[in-house]
Amino acid sequence: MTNSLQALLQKLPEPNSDTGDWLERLRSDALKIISSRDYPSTKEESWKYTSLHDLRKNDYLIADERNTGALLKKPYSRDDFLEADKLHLVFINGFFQPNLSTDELLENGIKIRPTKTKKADEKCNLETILKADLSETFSALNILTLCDSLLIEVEKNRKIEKVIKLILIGESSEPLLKSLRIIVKMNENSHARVVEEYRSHDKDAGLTNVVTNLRLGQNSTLFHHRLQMESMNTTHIGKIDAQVDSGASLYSDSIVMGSKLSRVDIDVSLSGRAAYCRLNGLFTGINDQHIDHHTTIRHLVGETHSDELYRGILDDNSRGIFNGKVVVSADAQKISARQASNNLLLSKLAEIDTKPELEIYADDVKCAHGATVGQLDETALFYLRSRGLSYKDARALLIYAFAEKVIESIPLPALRQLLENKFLGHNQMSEFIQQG
Amino acid sequence: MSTNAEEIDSLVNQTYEAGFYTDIEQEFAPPGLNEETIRFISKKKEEPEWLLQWRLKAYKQFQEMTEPKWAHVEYPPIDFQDISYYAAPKSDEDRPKSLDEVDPKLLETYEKLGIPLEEQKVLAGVAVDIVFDSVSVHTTFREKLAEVGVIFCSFSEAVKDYPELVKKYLGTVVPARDNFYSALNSAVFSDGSFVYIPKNTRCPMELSTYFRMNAMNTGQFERTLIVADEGSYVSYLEGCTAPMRDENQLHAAVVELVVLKDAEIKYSTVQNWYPGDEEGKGGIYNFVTKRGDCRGDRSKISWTQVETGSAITWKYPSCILRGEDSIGEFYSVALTNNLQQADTGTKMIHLGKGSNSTIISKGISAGRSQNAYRGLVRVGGSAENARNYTQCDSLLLGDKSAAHTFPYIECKTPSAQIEHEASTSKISDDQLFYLRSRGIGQEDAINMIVNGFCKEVFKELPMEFAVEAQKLLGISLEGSIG
Repeated sequence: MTNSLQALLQKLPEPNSDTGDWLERLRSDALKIISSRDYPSTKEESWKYTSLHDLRKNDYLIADERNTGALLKKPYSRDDFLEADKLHLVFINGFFQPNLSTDELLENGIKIRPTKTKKADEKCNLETILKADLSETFSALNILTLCDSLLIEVEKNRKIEKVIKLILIGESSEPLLKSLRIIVKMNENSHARVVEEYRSHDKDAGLTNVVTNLRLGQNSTLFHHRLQMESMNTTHIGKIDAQVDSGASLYSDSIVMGSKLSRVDIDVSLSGRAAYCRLNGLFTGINDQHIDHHTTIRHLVGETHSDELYRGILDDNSRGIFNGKVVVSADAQKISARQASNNLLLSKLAEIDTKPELEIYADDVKCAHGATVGQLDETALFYLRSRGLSYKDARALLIYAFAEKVIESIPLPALRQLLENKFLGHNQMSEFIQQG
Repeated sequence: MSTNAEEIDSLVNQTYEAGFYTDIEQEFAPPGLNEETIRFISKKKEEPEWLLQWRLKAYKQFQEMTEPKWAHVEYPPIDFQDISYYAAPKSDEDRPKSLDEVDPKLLETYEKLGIPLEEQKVLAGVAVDIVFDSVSVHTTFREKLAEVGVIFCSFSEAVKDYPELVKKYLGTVVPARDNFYSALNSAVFSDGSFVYIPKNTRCPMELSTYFRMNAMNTGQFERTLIVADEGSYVSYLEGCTAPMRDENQLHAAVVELVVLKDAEIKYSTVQNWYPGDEEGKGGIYNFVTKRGDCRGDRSKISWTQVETGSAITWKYPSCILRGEDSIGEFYSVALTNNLQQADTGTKMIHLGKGSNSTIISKGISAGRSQNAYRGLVRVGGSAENARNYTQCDSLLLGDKSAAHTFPYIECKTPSAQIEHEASTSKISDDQLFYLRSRGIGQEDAINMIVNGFCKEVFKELPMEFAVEAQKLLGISLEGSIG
């Protein structure tokens, strides 16, 4: 039973390039690019450790407005998502749900527009943004099979106090391909915090293909937290493409706990002086999960800085992959870049493949990277046990301690709390931590 | 940093010191690669039928393979039909028995290189197996080694005198089909060295081969096989220089090390082949496959390399750590200048319990050169308590130089401990200022800092080599570098 990429493309209506609509044009370009391709194979360097063989096992249904399969759960209500100080936007099976989302969409200084792609706005220059990464198979597929897209634009000099939270839910009775596009445009001097949270019903076996484009204007600041907690039957392909202009700072977290197969590509270009990015990541694998992160930080001009920290915790026979690349362009002098990949293997069958890369074409730089693979410290475990903690609690505490380095830097208390609970299981331990 | 720029310029303008050309009559195979060439080589070397068949099989595999493109290097396509696959000094027909019988022109070459054979015999106590182009011309100290049962001879002699040993080990570490260049080498290899250390024997002296390429358009396809039987030890030195030349020369050597239980091989290389001129014209293409196999418990392989030459270096001396508690070490200094390109590193494949590996790599890139470390540490599920420590540092001299690091780490066992560290920076202004303020000239200060940077690797080299390596680095940096 093999379903190639081409078989999937057969299900699409022919893009109509003669209508003069730029999006239709883009679609036909995308089709041209991938019409002779299949899913990337392990022979390609960037997919060396991740086989997409399982994609072929499913005959995916491409989500469209008429057909997203039957819902698995009773209908949601807006109250299910309400949280204080948050603007929430809900997507179910790839489509925006205005009834479930916050109604303060057009707050002062912020434009949040679910863009029905057919009537996409010419003004905000979406075309150039969408065109940028068309050459990659999954980005092209994203354009071709796009469900809904969302544009968040923050006005100049505006600080958005509320957290913008996107909740993207998959729960279809059919194996559904959901393609989403999220665009965050930060104008000069603006400040915002965005959370992307991916969830799904336990029985959902869909394929999520999301591309997030972040555009940071001069001196803007964006916190971007990506939390992936889909069910164990799903496949998740994510991409973040970011451009950071001078004086701007991007703080990105990618936390992956869900999906049978998860792949997140993060590509950041630091394109103006004093641009900064911090990429943090945390992934935990159990059962036969396969979690892959590929990050690239491009220092295109001088005086740009980056920090990167990825931590992986692999149990059972899960497999983690981290590939972090730092590229310093020619003549981009006075650069500092730090990168670390730390990994914890908890089981004999777990595997980690990590590759921190440096590609440096300038000389006045300070670049360093480190990678470690290890296990829980027996002495520390013994110490905690001798203080009366059960084996389970002691282990959980040590694992949490390993993950904390990433968790502590998240400025959202609710998200931190959620992660603490995930790691420590029950509340008693959480209290223990808070007291400590 | 204007002084630095000037110094770099003078480095860039420096000519190749060991560049000269000796005019000796050669016996060529006609350029081109086909079955006939292979039969010609085999016949010329009076090889047995099994070896010819082995070569032909490798050639078949070679034909099915494509040239690898993944390395971070660029070069014009190589025309494999334009290379002459066999060249030997004319005197092949009647080999000299002593130094007096050696072609005086050959001796002159060594004189220029500063390798006085006699002196070396007496002072250094090193047996030298000189490979002049493709055929071993001279072997010294054979008798002394024979006393303890150590075999050290050219590969073709080994094929004649010890066919069983050669047959048993040849191609078992680097199979012909391993990669494009190893297949090519297996098909057309000309000569090389063979070493066998018997059980529980400590080789009484350091073994050394000086390679030297000397003929126009002649690819060099050396084949080295070293077998250390149980409980034995050997230290092997390999060093190279080559004369000035405008056309690129291909060098695709294969080195195989077999280490049995409790044995140890220490393999040191100083490589100073012609790197090409300031515009990157000429220079050697050095595409080498080196691999050692720790077959028994507690066996150990230590690779040390100082790479300053070649237009393109593409080399990954590797260790397969099969035995329990086996040890693999890799110490490397790679210096690139002008338009040189290096993509070098190591592979440590951990299979045995408690296997241990250390990687120390120091890259120095100057001028407009590209210097990449590419390494793999793979810990298999069976390698409980395996341990790896990797450190790769790069030093950038000149704002057009580039340094890259591509470390692959694959771990399948939770009890393994792997650490990897890498850093890239230019020479610290503070260090430079400190030395300058103590009255040390710019050039000496830089030399000092660079030598300090490489010290961890140099201290692994045998005495004589360490001196040569420091000298080499000094020459490369002479009147130069910021």
